[in-house]
Amino acid sequence: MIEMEWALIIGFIAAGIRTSAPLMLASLGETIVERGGILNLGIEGAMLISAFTGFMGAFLSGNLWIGLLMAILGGILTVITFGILVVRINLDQVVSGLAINLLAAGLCLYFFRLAFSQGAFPYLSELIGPYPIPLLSQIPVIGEVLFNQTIFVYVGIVSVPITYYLIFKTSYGLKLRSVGEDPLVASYLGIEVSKIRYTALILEGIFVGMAGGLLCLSMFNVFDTRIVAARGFVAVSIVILGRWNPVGAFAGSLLFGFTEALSLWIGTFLIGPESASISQLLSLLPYLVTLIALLIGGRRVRGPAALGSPFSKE
Amino acid sequence: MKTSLVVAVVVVAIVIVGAAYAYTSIIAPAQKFKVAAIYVTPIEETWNQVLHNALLKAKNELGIDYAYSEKVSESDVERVIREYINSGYKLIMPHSWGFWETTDRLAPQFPNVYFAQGSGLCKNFGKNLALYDYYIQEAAFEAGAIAAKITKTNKLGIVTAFPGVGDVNNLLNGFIAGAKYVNPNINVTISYINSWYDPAKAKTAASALIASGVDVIYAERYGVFEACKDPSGKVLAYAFGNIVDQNSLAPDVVVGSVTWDLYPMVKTFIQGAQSGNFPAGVYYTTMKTGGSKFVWNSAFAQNLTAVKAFADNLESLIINGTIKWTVDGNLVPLSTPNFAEPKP
Repeated sequence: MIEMEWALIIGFIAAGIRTSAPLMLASLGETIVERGGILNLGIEGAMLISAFTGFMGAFLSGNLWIGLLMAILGGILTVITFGILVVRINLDQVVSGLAINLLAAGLCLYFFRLAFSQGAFPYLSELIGPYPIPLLSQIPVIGEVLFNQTIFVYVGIVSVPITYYLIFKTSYGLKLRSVGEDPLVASYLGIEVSKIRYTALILEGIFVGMAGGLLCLSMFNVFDTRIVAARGFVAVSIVILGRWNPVGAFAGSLLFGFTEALSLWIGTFLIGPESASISQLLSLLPYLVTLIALLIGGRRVRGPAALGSPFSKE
Repeated sequence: MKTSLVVAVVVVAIVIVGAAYAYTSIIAPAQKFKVAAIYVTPIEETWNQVLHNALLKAKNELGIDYAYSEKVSESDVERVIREYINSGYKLIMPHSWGFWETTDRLAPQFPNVYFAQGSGLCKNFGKNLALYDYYIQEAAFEAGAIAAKITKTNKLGIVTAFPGVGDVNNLLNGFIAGAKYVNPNINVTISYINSWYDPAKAKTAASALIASGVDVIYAERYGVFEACKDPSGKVLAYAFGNIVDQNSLAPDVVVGSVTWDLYPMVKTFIQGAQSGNFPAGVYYTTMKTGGSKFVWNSAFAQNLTAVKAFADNLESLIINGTIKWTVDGNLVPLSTPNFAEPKP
């Protein structure tokens, strides 16, 4: 019986971490660009494009890793397209981001139809599964929960200290933050604002590409234009919740992922067959918890001062 | 210069009129029977795919003319229906719940056009309106019975979208009734993901079911199969696909699929409309008419010979009307067929 309970707890924690993974990757990427003063709402569309390019890459080549590479490229390309709109042409960031989302949905469907005949049901015959880390995965409980996950989880976790170091301990990070606070002053000081921002966007593209690729290469083996299911927007709110800090984004992703997993697990365990009436209430849980966390922790938080405002030297 | 221009225009006009006349009177083939389908979402969505494929098959085999509009909103569907009617379409199939009120209102106004509404609460059937839905509860019943035969824990699970959706409940009820037909004391847990499409959430829901001891899951929504194996590839639970044949998606996990085939229905509608015997009223895609099918994953069918034989017998009992069942409790079926108490 005790063994059974441990198995349940391990299963739940593993499910929570797995649910958090796409949010973790996406919110880390978004944290970087927002630190540089860019609000990328097009992250939802970028995740969709990378899910699509990842799926197509894996489907056509028969190799999941080529799929992952294509997903990352798709992510970078979409985010750079957004970057050209907001950094070079100085369009409104919110409008451009939403435009990217609409464009992504249309493009994916268009190319999906070009690639497959009507009525076809393309799917990947295998997925990127968990990769147990030798030795570490043998540790009881922790090993199973932390070291028996997919590469996406490992990359997400390892990237937290790396992005933290990048933003707060490097000269690039200092420039990035100053561009996010006041791009005009930064440019007077000789910082090339657009170069800094494009670099941040490319980094975001890599993260978002992995987050999108995860959905179609590791989570589910069929592509559908609804696959992202608002996870991009959730990632944007997690960035705010995490106070534009990679550690905060990591914690916020775990909070959201675990409450989502919890809502589905409670429905199964505590309520059983009568879960119908309460399941919708439970599905609110992740959003409710996020709201409460924002209320408690986010009241005195100020984001990068120049976040969302267009910048040109003239 | 001016004269030559006038001459040129006249010549071009004569050529165009002449060609048009020649086309309509000589070259144009006899009018085909024209069928139009209207979808609220892209045709790739499974619910749409079933009708789209059935109509493509009808185009090849019955020689009809098939046109469709997708991503049509509820507010725009009336315009689309009227345009199809004006272009000579004789069978209009609005294939979404949100369209039913418009269809119900327009059908009496166009007695010479046939309407087939995909799900809804239509009342004005007259002689030209039919209502269909995915009445595949018979195949779901068979899946439930098979699940009850193969479970070792006597715990079955269902992963579905929202609570309280009538036509979906119909399937869940069918599955539960089938399971209880084999074992009245079996435990069935329903997990709602509160989304029509979110495989990641469905995967989490399925992993929770498996952790609670469930070893067979009816995947009413996508995403369940990925949770049914552990990292080493060991199968933790078996599953059933829904609406379309999903057996190839996870061949070592999916026992079979509860499928919906609209071709027999579409054929009945088209031939009925052509001969003047259109089956107005509610149309049931039953196992008997071939609209509801349980499709075995061939590998499982070979290994589970006894269960397969049992299921085949069950099918014939359903088709000849021996097995009837009712399902009550919180999950009220959408509508008839009205079934009697299960008698194992």
